[in-house]
Amino acid sequence: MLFNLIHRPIPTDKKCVEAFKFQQDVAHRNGFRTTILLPVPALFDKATIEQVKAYSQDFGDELGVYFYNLNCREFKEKFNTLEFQYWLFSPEDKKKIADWAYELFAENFGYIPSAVGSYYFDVDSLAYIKKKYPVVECALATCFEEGANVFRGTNGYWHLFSEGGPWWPWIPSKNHIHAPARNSAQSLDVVALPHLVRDMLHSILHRDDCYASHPANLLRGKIYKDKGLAYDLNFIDQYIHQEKFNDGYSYYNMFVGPNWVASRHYYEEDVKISRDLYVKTLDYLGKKKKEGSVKDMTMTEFGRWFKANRKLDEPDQCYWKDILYGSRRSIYWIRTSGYRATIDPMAGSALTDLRPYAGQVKMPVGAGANELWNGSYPFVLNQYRKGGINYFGRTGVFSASILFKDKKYDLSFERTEIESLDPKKRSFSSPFSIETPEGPLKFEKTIRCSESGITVDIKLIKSPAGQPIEVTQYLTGVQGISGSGDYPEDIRGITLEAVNSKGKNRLPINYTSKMITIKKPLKLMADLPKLDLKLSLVPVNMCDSGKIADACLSGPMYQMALIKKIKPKEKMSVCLKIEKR
Amino acid sequence: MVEFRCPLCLSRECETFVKYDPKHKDYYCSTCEYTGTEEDVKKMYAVITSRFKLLNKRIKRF
Repeated sequence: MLFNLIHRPIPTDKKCVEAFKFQQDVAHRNGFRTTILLPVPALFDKATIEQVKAYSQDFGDELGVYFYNLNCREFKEKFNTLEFQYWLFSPEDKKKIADWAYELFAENFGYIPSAVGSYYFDVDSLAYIKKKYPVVECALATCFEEGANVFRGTNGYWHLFSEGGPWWPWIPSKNHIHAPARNSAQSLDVVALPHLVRDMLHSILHRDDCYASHPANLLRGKIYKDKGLAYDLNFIDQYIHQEKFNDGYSYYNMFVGPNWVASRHYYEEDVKISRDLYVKTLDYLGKKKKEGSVKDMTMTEFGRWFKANRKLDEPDQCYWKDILYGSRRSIYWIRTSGYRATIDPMAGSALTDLRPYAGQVKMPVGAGANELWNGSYPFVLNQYRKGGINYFGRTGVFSASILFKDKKYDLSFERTEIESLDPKKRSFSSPFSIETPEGPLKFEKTIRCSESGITVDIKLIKSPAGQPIEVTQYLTGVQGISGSGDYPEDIRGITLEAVNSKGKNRLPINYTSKMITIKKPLKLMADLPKLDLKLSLVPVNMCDSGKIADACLSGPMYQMALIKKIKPKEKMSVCLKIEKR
Repeated sequence: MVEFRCPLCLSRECETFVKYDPKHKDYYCSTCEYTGTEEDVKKMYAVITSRFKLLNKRIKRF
C-alpha cells in the first residue's frame, strides 16, 4: 500500500508550533518522509521557514503550498474580505491568491513547489495553477464524500460540498475536478489526491469526517474506548486488503492538522489521548513499512508513480466491510473514467449511487459561479441522499423485483451478500432465497461492470414445482447535486424514450404519472440534457415488455423498466449504458 | 468548567457545544431540549459509543 503522510504548520498558535514538531518527530522516528504543505501565514514566519528547510534537508521531506488558514493579518490586509475558504472565492480572486502564495513560496525557498493542496480545488483554479506553474504535479484536491452530512453535522459551519468524486487518486479532466480524464486531451495533467481516505461504508451512511484516516476525528466521533484503537488498525488493514481488488495497488494518506494534537478540538478527551492515538497509528504504519506492506512517498513521488503505473482508463474497485457496528454489512464501489457506482448488498445488490462522469459536466464553484458553493459531481441514482426506500416504494436505484404468482418481491428490500468477486472481470454475484407460500424461490444476481456500463443478470435457480417468475429490472431515476435541499430536485427537462421495432415513444418528464408500455423493447432511454447524458436500459436477451413512467410529486423520480418471464435455469440480462449525449 | 458537545445532538451526528448554567448547576443545549449534569452527559456519550459493537475487536480476515 502506498502512503502519503502530510503535515502542515500553524505558526500563529504557539501550541500548534509545538504540536507540528511532535508530529514530525513521530513521523521521522518511524522512518517516514512527510510532505509539508505550507499555508499562507507560514510563508510569513521566518522560524517556520527555517524549520521546514531543515526538515527537507535532513529527512527529505517535501515542501508545498496549502490554500487554507488564509485568515492571517497579511491576507486580510491584502484582500479585505471575510471569505476564508479558497474554493469559495471568485475566479479572479482565486488566481490572485494562488499567484501571491506561489510568489511568497518562491521568495522564501527559491523554487516553485510541485505539491499543492486545498480541501477542495475547483477545476478552473487547478487548471490555472498548472498552466502558470507547470512544475505542479500532485494536488491534494478534494474531500471524498464530504457534503450534506458534514454540513448538517457541523451546524452549517463547514462549507465544503465535495460529493461524487473518486475515493482514490485520479487525474482530473478539464471539465470537473471529480471527473477523471478519459484521454490525454481531456487531462489536467495533475495527479489529484483525496484529502484522507474514508471508511467506505460509513462515508456514505454518515458524516464521513469521523470515519477516516484521521485518529483525532475518531475521538470526535466517540469511536474510542479504553485506550483501544482496534478500529483504526482494522481500518488500515482493510485498506491494505484492497490490493486484492486492484491488481496489487492500494493507496492511503493521513493529514492531521497540528491543532488536533495541540489542544482539545471537537473532542472531550484530554489531548494526551489524541497524541497517543497519533503515535500508535504511525507506529502501526511504521511496523507495516518494516514488514514491507506499506511504502511511503512524498506527494510528488506518488504523482510520478501514479502517472507511470496507472492508466487513465484503469478502474479502482473497493469492497469494504463494516468493521465498526458489527452489522455484517458490506458495500462495493467501482470508479471508471465513465462513472462512479455504489452497489449495496443491503438493498439487494442494487445500484444505489451513480455519478456519470461520461457527461463531463462543467460546474464551476465559488463567488460568481452558477453553483456558488456546491462542488459535488451530480448523481443520477442516489438512495442515500435523495429518496431513501419508503412506503411509496420509489428510491433512486437500479434494482429488480420478482413476481411469483400474484405476489411481488422487491429486491431492494432483501439483504444479500457479495460472492465470487472477480476483480479482473469486475464482476460478482449475489444469492437470493425468498420464502413463498409454496416454497422457496432461489435465484442469483450477477453484476459485471465495464468502462461505460453495468450489466445485471438475474438467473432463476429453483422455484416451487419449476414454475416461472416474472422479473422486472427497473431504474428509478433522480438527478441532482447532494445537499441542495431535502426534496428531490426538479427533473423537468429529462425526456424518456421507449424503442422497439415499431418505432419510438417519447415521454417528457412533467410530473404527470403517465406511463407508456411497449412489447419486445430494443431500448429504454433517458435523455438528461442538463448533465449532457444518456442513460439506457438495453436488453441483452430479448425481454417481453418495457415501460417508461413519468414522475409524480409524491414520487418525484422517473422510471424505466424491462420485464421478462423466466423459468428455472434461464436468465434475464440487462445492460445499463452511461453515455455522453 | 469543561466544554462538552451536546450528547443528544451528537447522537444524531450534529455538534453543538452545551453551556453551563451556574444557577441550576447543569448544562443546556441551545439547539435542542437537552439539559443535564456532567455525569448525565458522560452517560449519554457512553450510549453513543455502545453502538460500535466491534470497537475494540481486532479483525484478522476481511
